Amino acid sequence: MNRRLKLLTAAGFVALVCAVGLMVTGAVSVEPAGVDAPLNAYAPKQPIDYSHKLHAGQLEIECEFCHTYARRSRSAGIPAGEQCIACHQLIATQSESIKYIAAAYDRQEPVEWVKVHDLPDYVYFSHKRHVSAGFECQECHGPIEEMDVVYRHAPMTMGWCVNCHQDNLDKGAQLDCLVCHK
Amino acid sequence: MGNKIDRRDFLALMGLSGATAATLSCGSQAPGFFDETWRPWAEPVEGTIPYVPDYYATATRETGSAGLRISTMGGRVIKVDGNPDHPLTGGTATSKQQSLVQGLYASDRVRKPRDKKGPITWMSAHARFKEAIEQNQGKNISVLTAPITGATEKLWTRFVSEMGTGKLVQFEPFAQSGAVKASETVFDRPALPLTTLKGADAVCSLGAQFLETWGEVNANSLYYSEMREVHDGKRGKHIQFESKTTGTGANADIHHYIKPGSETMLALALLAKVAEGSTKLSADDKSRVAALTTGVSAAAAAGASGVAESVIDDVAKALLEAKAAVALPAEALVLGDDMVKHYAAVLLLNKALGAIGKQVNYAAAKPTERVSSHKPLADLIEEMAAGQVDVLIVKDANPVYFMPDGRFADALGKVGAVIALAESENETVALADMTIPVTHDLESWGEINAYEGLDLLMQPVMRPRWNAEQAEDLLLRLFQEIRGEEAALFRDYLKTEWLAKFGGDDASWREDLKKGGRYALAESGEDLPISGNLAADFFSGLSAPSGGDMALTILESARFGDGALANRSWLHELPDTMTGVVWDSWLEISTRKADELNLDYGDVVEATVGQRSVKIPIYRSETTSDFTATLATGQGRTGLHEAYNRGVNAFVFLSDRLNDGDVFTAAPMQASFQKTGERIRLATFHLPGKGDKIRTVLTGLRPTAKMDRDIFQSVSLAGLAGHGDDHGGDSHGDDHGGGGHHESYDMDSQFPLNKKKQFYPERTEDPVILGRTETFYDEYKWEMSVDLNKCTGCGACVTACYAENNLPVVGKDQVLKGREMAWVRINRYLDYNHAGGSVEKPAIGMMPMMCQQCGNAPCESVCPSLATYHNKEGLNAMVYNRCVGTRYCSNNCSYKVRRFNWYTWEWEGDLNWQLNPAVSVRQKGVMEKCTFCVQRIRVAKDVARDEGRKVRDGEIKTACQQACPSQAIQFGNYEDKNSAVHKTATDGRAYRALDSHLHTKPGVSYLQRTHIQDDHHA
Repeated sequence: MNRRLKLLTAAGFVALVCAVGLMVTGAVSVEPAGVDAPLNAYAPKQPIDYSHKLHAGQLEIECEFCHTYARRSRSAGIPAGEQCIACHQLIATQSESIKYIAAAYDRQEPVEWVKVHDLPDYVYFSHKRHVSAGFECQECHGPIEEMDVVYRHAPMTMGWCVNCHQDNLDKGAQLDCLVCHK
Repeated sequence: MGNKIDRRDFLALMGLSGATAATLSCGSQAPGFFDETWRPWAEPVEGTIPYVPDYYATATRETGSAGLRISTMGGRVIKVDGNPDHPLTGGTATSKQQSLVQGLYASDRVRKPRDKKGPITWMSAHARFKEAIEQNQGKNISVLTAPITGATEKLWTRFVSEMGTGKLVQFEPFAQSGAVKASETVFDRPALPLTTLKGADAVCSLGAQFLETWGEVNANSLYYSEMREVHDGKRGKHIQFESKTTGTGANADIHHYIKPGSETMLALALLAKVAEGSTKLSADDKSRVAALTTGVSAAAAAGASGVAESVIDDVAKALLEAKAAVALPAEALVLGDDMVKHYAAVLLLNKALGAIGKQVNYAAAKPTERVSSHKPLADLIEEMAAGQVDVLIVKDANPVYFMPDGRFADALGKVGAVIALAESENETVALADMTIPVTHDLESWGEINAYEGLDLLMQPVMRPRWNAEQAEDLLLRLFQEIRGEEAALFRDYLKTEWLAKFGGDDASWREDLKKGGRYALAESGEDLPISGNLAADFFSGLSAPSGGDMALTILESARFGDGALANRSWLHELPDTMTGVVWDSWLEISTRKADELNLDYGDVVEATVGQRSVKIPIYRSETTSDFTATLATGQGRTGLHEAYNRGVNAFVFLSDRLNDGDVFTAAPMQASFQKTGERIRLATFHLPGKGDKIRTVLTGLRPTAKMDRDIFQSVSLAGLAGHGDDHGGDSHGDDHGGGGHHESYDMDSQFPLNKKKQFYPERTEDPVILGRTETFYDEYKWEMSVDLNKCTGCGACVTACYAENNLPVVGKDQVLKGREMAWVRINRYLDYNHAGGSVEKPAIGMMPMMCQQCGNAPCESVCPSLATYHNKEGLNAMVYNRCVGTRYCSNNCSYKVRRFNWYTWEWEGDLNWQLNPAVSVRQKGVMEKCTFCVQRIRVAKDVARDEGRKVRDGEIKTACQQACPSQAIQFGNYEDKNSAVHKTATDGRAYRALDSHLHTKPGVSYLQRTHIQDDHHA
C-alpha cells in the first residue's frame, strides 16, 4: 500500500468516527456543511439558510455593514431584523427565508440565530480592540465570504488566543491573564 | 543576569507545570456545542451599543432629594450611582440609595392585577377601577400616597378635587412637620431649611445621625470629610451627645453619653451659654434669648442628662471658638412631646452660632407644603372609621406597618372600596379590595421638588418589568374616559408643566433630562431675625426624661430607614456599623447592664411598655451607655417575600397620638425586660472582646511590643504636627513608598527578636514568568489609598462592591459559618487605651479592608494552579476558571479578604437582572476577591488606547471609591508621580497595613486617622 493511500484511508476513518460520534451523541443537528467546510467543523443549523457566500462574497457587502458594532463594542452584533428588511423589502421578497424574517420583524420579535463562535462567560473578548488593531475578520472567522453555511474556523481555545497574542506583541497584544479573564 | 529561581517562583512554576500537564491531558477540545442563541433587536435602539452601558440621570421618591445616575446595559438597570451633576449628591451613593435597583427587581413587585378572590385580568382591573371612580363621583374619593410634588402632585390634587369630595393625604413615617413648626415659631418662616455642614469647622450634634440618616447624608458626609482635613495641624471638631454610640457618633472627636430624653434641656443649656458669649447676636437678640432661657440652668441640664456641668461649659466654649459652628438636633424618635421646642432651641442655637443663612440655609428651603405631617393621616383614619370614605386609593404609603396596633387596618375595613395602585407588595396592599400593579419609579416619569432651587426629573430608565402602567397614566385615562378629555400621557403632561414652570423649550427639556433636573441651589441665604411672636415662656414646661434607669429608645435604622427598604438583601447582609449584626433585629444594651440583668448574647427578652411588647434578642455592647436599651426601626415587616420578614417592628412603641409637631413619634420609655429563656444566635462580625479590640493578642498589646501589629493606626494632631519624631506614641509611620520596590526598611528595629529573618525575600530582579522576563510596573502600578481620617464606616463601599462585582448574598446561616462574600468589609476596632479611648469607653476605628494587592503576596505562592499571581500592573490577579478551590490562598492571606464559594449561589427572582456582564459570576469551589475593579481598568485602557494615550489620573474610579460619600478612597497609577494616589500614598500619615511585620508590600495605603487628644474624653 502506498503512502498516499494509507493517509487517505486514515483520514476517511477519522471522518467516519467523527460522523458516527456525532450521530451517537446527537448533541447537535449538523446540517451538511458547505462544500468548503471541513467535515467535522461546527456549523449549526440556523433558522434560515443565510449565505455569507452570497452576501459577503458575491455581493461584496462589507462585514461591518451588518455587524455594525464591531468597531465600537465587545460584540460585533447580529443585525437587527430591521436591517434585513431594509434591503429585502424589495429584494427576493418571495423567498421562504425572507418571509420568515419579515414575519418575525412584523411581530417585532428577534430571529434566534445559533452562536457559531462563542466564548465562555468568564472570557472578556473585544471585537473593537481587534478590529482597531487592524485584524481582518477572516483571521479568526475564516474565509467567511466563501461560506454558504458558517462554520467555526478557529478553535477559539485559550492556547489559540495566546499564540496569536504572543505573535502580535508589537501591535500591543498583551499576555496578562486579566486581559482576557474577567 | 543570573536567572536564579527562588522559592516563590519555583513554587509558582511548579504549580504552572502541573496545571499545564492537567490541561494537556484533557486533549484537544471537541467542537463546541453551544445552545446559546443571539437574539438581535427587531429594531436597533438608537444610540445604544451592546455591552456599552447607557447612563440616565433620574431621581426617585424613595431617594428623595438625591440625584441618581443609573447604568443600564441591554435595557436592564445594573447599577445605581450618584449623579455627579447633582449639587448635594455629587456622584456618591449611600447603601440605601444603591439598593434601589434591588427594589426594582424585588420578588415583591406586584405582577398581576387582583381582587380579594384572586388574580383578575388587566382589562377587568381597568374597567373596575373606572367603575369605582365613576360611580362614586361627587362622593368621598380619597387618595393616600407617599409624599409627591410638582406635576405629579398637581395631577393627583386635580383628580381628588374634581372627582369627589375626598382628600389627597401624603404620608411618610418620618414626617418633618415638627421642624417646620419650630422654624415658623422662631423665624416666622414655615419652611425646612437646607442644613449641611458646608464650610463648618465645628459641628455639635445632639443625637442626629447626620452621616447615616439625618438630612442630606451625601452632602453631610462630603462636607464632614472636608471638615476633617488637616490643615496646619488643625481640623474641625465633631461633638456628639447621644445615649448610644451610633455610626455617626463613632466618628466624633468629643463624645458624651446622655440620658435619652434630656436633649432639649441640654440644647437650652447650650443655647444659654452660647448666646451669652456670642458675637453673632445683636444685644437685643441676646436679651431675648436670655429671657427665653430664664430658668434654664446648666446644673439642671447636667443633672438630667448625666454629663458633668463642665462639659456643657466646654462644649459651649468650643462652639464659640470655632469659626463656623453648626448645631444639629436630636433624632426625632426620642423627642416625644417636646419636638417643636427642641427644634426651636437648636434653631436659636444656630442663630447664636451665626449658622443661619450659611449652614442652615433658608434660601434653599423646603416650603411647608412640601413637608408632610401625620395630621392628615390621623384625620383620614377618623373619617375612615366613621365610614365617610367611599373610595380610598392607596399608593406607596404603608400605614398598616407603621401602625402595628391595627388602627389603620381597622379603619380600612370601613371604607367602601380600597384600591391599591401598588408597585410592590406590602402590609397595606395586602388589605386592599383590588390591587393594580403600577410602575416602579425607575420605570416612571415624575418630578421631585426637593428644595427651592433643586428640582429633579424622574424618567424611566427601562421598560416596565411587569407590563404595568404608571399610576398617573391611569389617572389621565380616567379623565379621558369619565370626563371625555383628550387622551394624554403623563410624560407630556409633565413636560408641559415643567416647561411652564421653569421656562425653556424642547432642547432645554432634553438638557434637563440629561442632567437630571434644574440645579439653582442658593449657596447661602440671609440671617433671619428672631420672630417677635416667640413667647418668652415658650420653653417652659419641658417634660423630664421619662425612661427611668435604662430607657427603651428607638432609633432610625441606618440601613432600613422606615422599613420600606427591608426587602433589600444587600442591606440585610450589610453589617450594622456598630454591632455588625446582619439579618436580625436586636436590643443593644451595655455589657454592664447586661451583667446586672444576667443577659447574654442572643438571649431573647420581652421588652414591655404598658400593653405593648416585643420579643427581641440581646446584643451586649461596649459602645452604648447604661442609660438606654436601643432598638432600631425598619424591621419586622410581614408583607414581604418570606426571606425578608425578619426581626421586630419598633413602631409598636410609637405614640398613638400626635405630638406638638403633628407627628406620631416616640420618647424614651420606661420598659420592663423579661428574659424569656429563648435564644437566637445573632450573626455578627463584632463580638466585643473577640477580635475587634485594637490591642489584644490578636491585634497587638502595646505600641512597643512585638505583637503590636498596628493594623489600624491613628495619630494625634499634636503628634502629626511634630511629624517624623513623634507619632503620638501609638503609631509607626512606615512611610515607605509604593508597594513595589521598597528601599529603606529597618527590620531590625521593628523586629528585634527576628533579626534578618524575613518571610519574603526582597525581590531584587524582575521574576521570570513563562520564560520571559516581565517588566513590572513599567507603565502602571494600580494602587489605592484610604484616608481613615475621612472614612465614616457607613458601608456604602461594601454595597457598591456587591453591585459592581456580582457578589452573592448568602443569608444568616451562612454568615454564621463565616461564609459571607463581601470583598470589602468595614473592620471596626475598639481602642481601650489610646486615641482618647478608655476601658469604659473605647475609641472607635473604622477601616475598610479589601484585597491589599500585595507586591509580595502570601496567597500567590501557595496556589497550586497559578490561579492567582501578581501581574505587571500591580494587581493580585485572580483567574476564576483556573481556581481549583484548595483554599490555600485564603488560609495564607494575612488580611482575610479572600472569599470562597461554598455553593453556586443563586439570585432570588429577578435579582440576577442586576448582574454586571463585565464580571464573571463565580460558581461553587472558586475563590474570589477584590481586583480593584479590573473591569473598569479594562474599559479605561480601552478608551485610552483608542485615543492613543495613557490612562489619565482620575479616569478610573473603583466602585467603592465612586460610591464613598466621604470620598475617603483614591485610586490610580502609583507610577504617575502627580497622581492623587501617589500623593496620598507618600503622605506623612500613609502606612501599609501589616507591611512592617510581614513585608507583604500592600498596594493599598491607609492614611492614619487623626484624633484630638482632648481632656474631654471621659
